[in-house]
Amino acid sequence: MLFNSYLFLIFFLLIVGIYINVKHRSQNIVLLLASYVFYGTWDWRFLFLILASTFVDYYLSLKIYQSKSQKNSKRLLFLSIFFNLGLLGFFKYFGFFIDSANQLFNLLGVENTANLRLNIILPVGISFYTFQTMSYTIDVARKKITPIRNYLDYSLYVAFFPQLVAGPIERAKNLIPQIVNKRHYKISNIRSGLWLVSWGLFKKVVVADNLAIVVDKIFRTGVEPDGISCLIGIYAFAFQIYGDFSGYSDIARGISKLLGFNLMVNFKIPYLSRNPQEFWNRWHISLSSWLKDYLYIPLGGSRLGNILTYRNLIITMVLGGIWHGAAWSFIIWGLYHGLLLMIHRFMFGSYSKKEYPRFNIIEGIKIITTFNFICFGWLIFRANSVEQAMFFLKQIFTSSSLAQIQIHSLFSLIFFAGMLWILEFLVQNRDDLKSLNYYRPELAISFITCIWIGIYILAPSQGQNFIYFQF
Amino acid sequence: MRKLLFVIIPIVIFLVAELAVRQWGYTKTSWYRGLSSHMKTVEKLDVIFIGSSRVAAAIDSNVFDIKTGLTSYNIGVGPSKLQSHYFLLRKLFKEYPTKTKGIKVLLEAPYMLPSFTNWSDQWFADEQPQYLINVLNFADLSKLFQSDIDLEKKLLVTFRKLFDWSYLFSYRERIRNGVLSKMKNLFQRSLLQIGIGKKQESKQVDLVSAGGIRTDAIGVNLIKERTITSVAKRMTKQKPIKDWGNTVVSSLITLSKESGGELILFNMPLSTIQGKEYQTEIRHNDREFFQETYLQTDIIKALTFRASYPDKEFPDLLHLAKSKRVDYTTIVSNSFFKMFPN
Repeated sequence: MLFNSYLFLIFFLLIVGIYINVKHRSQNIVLLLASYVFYGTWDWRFLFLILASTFVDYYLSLKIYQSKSQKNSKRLLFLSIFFNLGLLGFFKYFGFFIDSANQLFNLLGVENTANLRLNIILPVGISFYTFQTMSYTIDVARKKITPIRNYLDYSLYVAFFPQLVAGPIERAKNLIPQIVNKRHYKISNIRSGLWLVSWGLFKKVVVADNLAIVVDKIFRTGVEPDGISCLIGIYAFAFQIYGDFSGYSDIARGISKLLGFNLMVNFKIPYLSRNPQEFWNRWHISLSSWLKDYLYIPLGGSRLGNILTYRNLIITMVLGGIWHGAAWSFIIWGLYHGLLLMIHRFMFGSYSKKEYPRFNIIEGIKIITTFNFICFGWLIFRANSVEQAMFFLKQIFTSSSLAQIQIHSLFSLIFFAGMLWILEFLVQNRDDLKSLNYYRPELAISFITCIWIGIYILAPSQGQNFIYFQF
Repeated sequence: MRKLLFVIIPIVIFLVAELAVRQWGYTKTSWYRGLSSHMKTVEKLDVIFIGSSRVAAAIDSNVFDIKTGLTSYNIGVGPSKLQSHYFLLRKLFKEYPTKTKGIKVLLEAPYMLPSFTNWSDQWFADEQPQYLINVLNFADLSKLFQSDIDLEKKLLVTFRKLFDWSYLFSYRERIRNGVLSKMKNLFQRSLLQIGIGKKQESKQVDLVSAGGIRTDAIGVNLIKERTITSVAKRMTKQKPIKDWGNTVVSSLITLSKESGGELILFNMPLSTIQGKEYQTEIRHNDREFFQETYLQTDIIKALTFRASYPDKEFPDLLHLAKSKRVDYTTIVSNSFFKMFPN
């Protein structure tokens, strides 16, 4: 069930209809049942996984909390992590490891008689909810939070449908109090929620889905585009994936707002970053902060000298790449970002945390340079093979001429990415929830109406799945 | 008063958009509306050609009229489904009962096998749902919900049907394509003026532009590619046709009879690649069954003529070349005249 579907609209209206008419405890039951129905619409068999994950982490976190010795606590934590990574490993990476091993045997000329092959389907959103449950158990073990005693509330924390299949990966300290405590409704929540849903849908349906047509055409196997087309394809993908994923996050936040929840901000205009480190503070924030808190810092972070800091950066980013999918392209993409962070740190040190720069030429050059480095990463991410990525690079440097521009593809890139930029600039205004408050209410409602007409008219006939569902 | 503005402003913006859409005329020639306008200009409609864009490409109704002395209309369009044609005819017969009395409905049947789509299959093509929605009644929705169509598509049709009165809602695809192509052309002109870019190949190919057929080189290549892949896909999952009684053709026979007319099949020439899927053993058996059950028992008639063309006469592998249109229509007309001399 996709957010941009009629089915979801009916489902959500039905849930809201029941939700607003019952008391807090019953609301949680309604949300939990709705979440399982939502998840079950992909494949009911996936429900067993999420139920197992919920039970194991609930039980182990309680045991960890009650544990008197640190050794025992560590043992239980290890068990929880082993279980979660085991789930991920089996469903997401098993096929990849087997294929890679087979390739290696072939390469070494060893006869591989086993040639094991399993047809495993990837459960939607498994990477998101396993990371969410892991962070919970780790936080309990670190004594940052006390475990929740109500199984139903914990189940809702794991399965909360707006963010279940593509994040944001919520932390227990943010989401659980909102589940446990009575929620208060304000008219401003409804306004912000509707705004986030509208804007998220626009980014997904109008920007990302239209750019997907251009991207798919250029990246299609067997096609040999010229250098300019390759560039158009890469830039279009940069905006497609941003529109797609940040659109999903916005809709998830908007829906949650309408239900009285506040989810974390997952994107902060990442393409305005001035360096790679800043980019990762603005892009998929819930994952990058997860990797920082549960991987980079435990590895030693930047406390152990330059060499170990670089090592930690590389390990963190490579694992971040693997999190996205079981393919060499994701590993190389993670490694590339690790190297970018390492080189940037080596050359300029840690960056200042001024979030929104004043614009001048120097800042502009930094932004454009960073954007292009990020786009190179997107080429690795999107290419169907390493060979295709290399071919695109070769074409960009050897076969580019302004006279060869495919005007229609360029138009789509400028029109849809341009709309995204202009609107993002107009409305984001540092805090996307308050963005509409900068304008007169009449102007804001006119703007939202135009956005909805735009969504309806400009959406391509055949919608696309959200890219991040595959991760 | 201020709260009221929150209702008034969206309505005003919507009305402005609605008026703009009606004014720009993206919708004026849309399928049933085009036929309906035509019906106002004729005293009687004797023949109607229905089917895919292959029919739109191959049949010239003016030539047919001259050759037979009758009044005909070609409603073949792509991408459409036979279900939409069924509802279109039903609406036509209901709105113009006298003018359509005794009408002959001519349906394409390559290799003498008509479309075997049934009521459980897809009722509309994703690219143009409005063809169906414009001719559907609310009462038909219950039948739609009983079909095997994806639930999301059923909901789409229901939603669009609710807003059928609005041109903005019902002609979404046409508006989208119209607006974007205008903007693209403007963008192209501006860039070409300053020497950037190459003009997108727009060389016209020997095809008729009716019925949603693309005649530019890019479009033609696209259709070629699509034809090859879709034929291959259909052939891999080819199954014998069961339950002819539940096919749309069967419903069309009944519908035509109820209006005092009849359904008649006519052979549609195909390119070699398209013809492949009709030449398998499975289809051979289907054809035999269809002939025994429907043609030999006179439940349905078929024009008998031979018309085949070499592959070069199918520039996009799907549609007959414009230059062969008159020739083919003449063959169809002669055959029709032979069967119905009066």
